[in-house]
Amino acid sequence: MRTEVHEETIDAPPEDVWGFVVDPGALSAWFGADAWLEPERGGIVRFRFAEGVERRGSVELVRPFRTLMWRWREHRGAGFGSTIGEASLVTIELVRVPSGTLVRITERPVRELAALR
Amino acid sequence: MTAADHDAIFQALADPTRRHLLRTLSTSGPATLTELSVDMPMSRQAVAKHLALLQDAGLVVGRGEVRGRRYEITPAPLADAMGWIADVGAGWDDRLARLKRQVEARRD
Repeated sequence: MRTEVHEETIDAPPEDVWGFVVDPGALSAWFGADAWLEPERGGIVRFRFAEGVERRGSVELVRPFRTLMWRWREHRGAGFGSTIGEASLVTIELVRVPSGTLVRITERPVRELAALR
Repeated sequence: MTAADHDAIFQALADPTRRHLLRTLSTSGPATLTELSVDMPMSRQAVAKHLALLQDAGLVVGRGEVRGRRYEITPAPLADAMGWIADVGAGWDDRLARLKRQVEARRD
């Protein structure tokens, strides 16, 4: 896995976008997974995808209307034969721009982060 | 499975005759070229060409001597292609596009 950065500009202020990022129901709708997230440091993060694939982890950072960061890893199957994926850090940043909000999502493998330190 | 393998699978599935042949093999089980040609509004040679394309894509395999060879479906490549389809829409760009649509729809 390599670091991925994705951006999109939305015609709405960060105050309007933030709710879509931290509300589990709204988050599920655009994420394409059944999402649960407690928007506080150390809070639980869980995304249930199709075919029994889950990504679980915890919230690392919350700066209201600006940044949400969580750490997660993939869990596939249960018991014998189950697999656990590589841990990565997901950062969702909302940047106020004249046309609304620039949303930047960065997903970075934790091992890459450790190498930087 | 490589991108070229996917190309071959989706090209094979792009034709209604080949989809019909796949469905027949899937529901009725292995069949010979003669059996497959019976209800088809085309020549036996044309059906053979379609079968060859399905074989090239790995979706169908022929077993036995040329005379009386029976064709059967091989499900693994189909499952792989379905996995590919499921993955589309699961990436970050697709998620961002949905977020944009949903936020902007609420503002209107």
